Amino acid sequence: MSRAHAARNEVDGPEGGSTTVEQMLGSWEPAPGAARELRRLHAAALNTHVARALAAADDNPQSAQRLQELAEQLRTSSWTTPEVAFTQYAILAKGRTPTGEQHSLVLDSLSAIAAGPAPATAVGGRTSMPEWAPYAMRLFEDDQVREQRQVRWELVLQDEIAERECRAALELLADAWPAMAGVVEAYVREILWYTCGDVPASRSLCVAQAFGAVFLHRRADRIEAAEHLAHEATHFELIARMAIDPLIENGDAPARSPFRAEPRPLGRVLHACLVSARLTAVLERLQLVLPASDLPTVQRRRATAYDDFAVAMSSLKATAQWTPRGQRLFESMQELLARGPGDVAPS
Amino acid sequence: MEHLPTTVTEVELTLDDVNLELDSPEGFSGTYGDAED
Repeated sequence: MSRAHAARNEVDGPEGGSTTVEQMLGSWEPAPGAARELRRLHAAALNTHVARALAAADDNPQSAQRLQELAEQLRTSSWTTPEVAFTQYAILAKGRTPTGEQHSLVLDSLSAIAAGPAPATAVGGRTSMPEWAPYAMRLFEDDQVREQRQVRWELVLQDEIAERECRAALELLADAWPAMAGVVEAYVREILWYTCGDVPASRSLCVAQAFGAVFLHRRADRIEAAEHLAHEATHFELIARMAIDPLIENGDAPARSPFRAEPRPLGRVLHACLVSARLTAVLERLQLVLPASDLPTVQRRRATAYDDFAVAMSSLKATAQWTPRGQRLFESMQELLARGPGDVAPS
Repeated sequence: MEHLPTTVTEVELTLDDVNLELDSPEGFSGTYGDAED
């Protein structure tokens, strides 16, 4: 390890001072520098694994050799794409062989990753539909069916109003809470939109099989979009955290979730808990920068987030068997909860 | 063991520390309807 690298690991956002990955794993607070370091570790493992798997399945010795060389470069890569995650989880992990087109697309993606640093979050702009997007929406559809909702979705790749609102949301978040905006920038590679007709349904989603892609309802305004981006980025960050440490030993145990009528696996309750903890603080911060006309909506949303947070914490307290890092995270969230619904934003 | 150039004060994390398996194939649905994960 170089000292320069270690120093970078410890440099964090404008609010957090220096935070290491180890410290971040035991805290609810966003720490963008540590989040990028965690992303580097998670992405390098994923990219390398996919490149090696493609090499192993390649009948052509020359292209297999090139893939092995690429895999070696990717050991020090720092970001990944929905395309790579889709290849791993929707193709390779299911014992399938990528088609020629799938192979070509993921090779392009891996080559871009090896060539340079992560680009800024892409807000729309695609001209063709990536295969992972309808795949994610079908998972969403399945999820909504479990909630007795028959959703008829349609993906939207380009929409002038939605793009404007999302760019405004990113600016709003950066203004309200730079550290949280840094986590969004670290994990959200791309934003797409969807519609659901008149059926009430969730207005944002993400899936590990398209890691880095956030799907927002087409008509989410900047305040709603800012909340959703913080929400989904927290899911991605927690997926990466739990790839390092399960945090909960009994993650499959059923428990009460704030968001569902039916019991959910504890690992999912932890996701709901960290998300609602972050949202409580995000909405508190938004109150400080938004005009008075927006405050009633934000205050109502914050109260809901705090109630959700309290329910999730109660459920975890009753049931979770924590790893040492998980215990630190729980204690960190307990401190946040104890501040009460009116004073949650760190000073 | 493979080592990434990622080291923290307390623990050195390596590629071997990353578990790429998903605990569930389900996605994460957000708020603003009244259903989420």
